[in-house]
Order: sequence, then C-alpha cells, then structure tokens
Amino acid sequence: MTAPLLAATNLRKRFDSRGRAVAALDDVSFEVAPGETLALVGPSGSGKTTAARALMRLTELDGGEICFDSEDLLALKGARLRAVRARLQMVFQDPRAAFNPRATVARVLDDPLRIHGIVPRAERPEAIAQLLQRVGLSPDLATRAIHEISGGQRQRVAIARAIATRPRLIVLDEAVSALDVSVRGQILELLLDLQRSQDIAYLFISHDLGVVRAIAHRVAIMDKGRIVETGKAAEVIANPQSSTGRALVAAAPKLRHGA
Amino acid sequence: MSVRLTVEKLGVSYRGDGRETEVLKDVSFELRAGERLAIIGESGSGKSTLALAIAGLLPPGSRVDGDVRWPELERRPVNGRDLGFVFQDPSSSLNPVLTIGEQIAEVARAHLGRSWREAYEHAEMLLGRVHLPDPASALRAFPHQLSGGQRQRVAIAEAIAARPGLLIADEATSALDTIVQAEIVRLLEELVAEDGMSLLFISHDIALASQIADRIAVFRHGRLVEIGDAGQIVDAPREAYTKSLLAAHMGLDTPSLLAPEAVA
Repeated sequence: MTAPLLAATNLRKRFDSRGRAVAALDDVSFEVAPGETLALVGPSGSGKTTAARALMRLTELDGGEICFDSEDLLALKGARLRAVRARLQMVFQDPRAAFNPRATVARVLDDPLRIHGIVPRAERPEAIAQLLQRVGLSPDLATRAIHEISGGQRQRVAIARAIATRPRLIVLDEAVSALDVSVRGQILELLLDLQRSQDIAYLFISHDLGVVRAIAHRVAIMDKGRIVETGKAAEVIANPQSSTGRALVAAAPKLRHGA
Repeated sequence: MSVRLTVEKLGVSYRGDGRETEVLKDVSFELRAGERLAIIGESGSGKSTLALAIAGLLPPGSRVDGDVRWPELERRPVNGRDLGFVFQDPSSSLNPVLTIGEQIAEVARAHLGRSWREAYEHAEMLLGRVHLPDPASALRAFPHQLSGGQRQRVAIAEAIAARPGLLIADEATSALDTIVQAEIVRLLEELVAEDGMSLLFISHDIALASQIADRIAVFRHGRLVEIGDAGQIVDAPREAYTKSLLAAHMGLDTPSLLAPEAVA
C-alpha cells in the first residue's frame, strides 16, 4: 500500500452553541491515498464541512494532527504554508460566492498562477487559455465577467482555478449540489478525467449518496462529529452497517417505477 | 373529483433593462382536488415563475397572458386562506423577531377570525401536526433557535394554518439534507391526505417528485414539455428531454463512473 497523501488523525473541535459545547469533530481520523476519492457523507451538522475547513486551515482545531504530502500541515506558517496551499485546493458549493463577481475569468485564473509563481507573466495568457480548455471551456471566455457566465461554466472556472496550481488534493464541498442535473454529470466526468490524467485525490463532501456512489472509491459516514462507518463506497451503500448509513440509504431519492 | 385549479394558456414576461423576457409560454393544465402534482425543471425552466403566477406574487411590471382559475371559489383567491406557500428557505418566510406562536396565530386570526387565545391553541395544535417536539415550548421559541428542518416544519404549519385548498412547495426540501428531506416529504404527504389539500410540488429532482406526486409536469425553457401520471413519466416518457432528465438521475443503482477495477 502506498503512503497516504493525507492522514488526519484524532481531529477534535468544539463549538459553543447557545451556551452548550457541541463537538463538531470528536476524534475523527481518515486517510486519502494519492489519486483516490474519499467521500465524507452525513446529515447537516455531522462535522463534514468542519473537517474540510480544518484541512484548509480555515478553522483552527482543538486537537489532532494532519499530515499532508509528508508535512505537518498544522505546524506550517508563512511561505511554507503558502507552498503547501498550492498543492491543496478547494471548490465550494456556490461558485458565485467563491469569486469576486466583477472579476473577469482571466483575472480569477491569473491570481493563483501569479501568487504561487507558477507561470511567468508573459506566458500567463497562454496558460489561462490552456486551463480553460482543460475544463472544457472556450478560451474566449477569459474576457467575460464571472457574473455573466452560467452556473455550470462558473463551476468549471472554479475547477480550473483549483487545478491551476497543480494540486495533489482538492476538497470538493458539495461542489455539484447546486448544479442542474444535466450539468452535474458533465462536471463529474471532468473531475474523473482530471483525476486520471493528473493523479489528483479528492475529498468529496456531500449528502447525496447517489453522486457519492458514482464518483467515490471509499466513503466515510459521519454523524454528530464522529465517523460512524467507513469502507468501499459501493459496499457501504449496498450494505450499510451504521444506523446513520442505513438512514442515508433509506432517504436517498429513488425513481418510483410502476406507479 | 372536482377541479381545484385551471391554468390556461398562461404566459409570463418580465421587463427589465429595456427588454422583455418571456419566462413562461402557453402553459395549460388542471389540478384536481386532493391531487399531488410535481413540477419538474432545471434552472430557467419557469417552474418558480409558475408558482408565483398562481399565487399572484409576480413582481410588479410582469406581463401575464392567459388565465389562472379556481372553479370552486366564487371570489378571488386569498393567499394564506386559499393557498399556502412553502419556500426553499424557511428563514425568508418566517419573521425573525416574532415567536413561532405569534406568527402562526396571526394567520389563524387573519383568516379564520379566531381570538388570540384560540389562535394560539390552533398554533399549538398545528405544531403538533408537523411533528415538532414539544409544541407548547416551541410556541415561545424564535426561528433562529430551531434547526433548518424544524424551521421548515414551522413554515409548513403556517402555510396550512387556514386550511388552504392548495399547498405550493417550491423546492421546499432542497436546502435540507437527504434525511430531513425525506421526513419533510413524508410530512407533506400526510398533511395533504389528511386535509384533502391539492399539492403543487416544485422540484429539480425527478426521483423525489416520483415519490410524492400522482402526476408529473416537466418544464423546460418556460414551456410545459410533458405531463402525465408519475408512473408513465418514469417508465414511459414520451419526450427526449424527460428521458435525458431520467438518465441524469444518480440513484443508488446507477453504475459507478469509476473504472471497474477501482471499485472492486
């Protein structure tokens, strides 16, 4: 077995809610291998988004360790943290909220290339055109403002921005949940294509088991800040052992035939 | 069964930026008493505009062609009294500075002519009907003290407070996780059956629609593409667009997109 790309160990985080301490993460551990998709699945408030935010260092943990690409992620600061951030990217549910709406597509993609010093200035327009093509968009889109393009196009731009820094892991937080179903399939295909060609690992956060089954290798089911079940996606979904797993399977919308 | 709502050749255009955009074109269907009709479509399909047009909530300046008729009523329908509306975001339909009890009781006072005391009793009964734990203390709670699922239960209690003949649920479960979504769908089914309400269930999720609806209407680009019994739409769709929506559904029996060796 290859060494994990990401190892999160004993993550702990408590929030104060109406005077009561609520455990958002209660001793959570998981690993992601290079090129693998691990889905974190659970009801609202189960802690899956807190786990993702902790990985991105958007939330400070009360305890635990995160080892990413052989580095102690929580100990990094300054330039070394920035260097790791290039290899660890995130795509959010609502691409509208993730961008400056008045920025052009080119500007959005220029930022990571410039900040991380990946492409010299003179070559950036060409690099941006290539990124757009990589996610199935026309390079002509570069001059358009973010608010002018469709939701599906915007999520493709978010993915282009994430892959611009050649990441090894992308955290996808409900990244296809707000998309129309006809667009969702195309975005999932794009993510798989990028994974195969660039060996990118995904931490795929979702409450939709149908999508998880389609895209994830393994799944960890969370409830009330704990991982209650983990295993191969198809196996866990076919035969869930935890009560939360069974509830999620029972609640997944199913086409009613022969009505 | 009697016809509760007739939509005939309905068209809606919005005006803005000096041009007119047609968002609903030539839409006709009937909704019978006690019937559950799902309206399915992607963004821009006109499904929410349809709901707003039926509720008379279109923004000023909208142009409306055609007719929405209520054959059982001999007057104009009154929102809250004749139809209840549940939106995607319960926070937008609840007043954050009023207690749950006040806002539901207000509906009972306005539309049923109850005294405050009777209206509060009515509100407590309704909170029980939507299965909110401890209705008596929920009456005194404010919306922010409840979870998203509980707030949607309160919004439903408010929508049905005057026993309307029609309940419109516009993406009412889309912001909730799947477990809470399934609970709310079960609740809607139960309430509609108990009160003989008609239900207009607006959703982007054709599988969810097939679970709750007697009939499904598929919308695209402002037009009604196809309408039929839920079973016919799922098992024998006539239109290519309906077939594509069904094909795009990702259920628990959909094959993985990963290479077979990756999931073995």
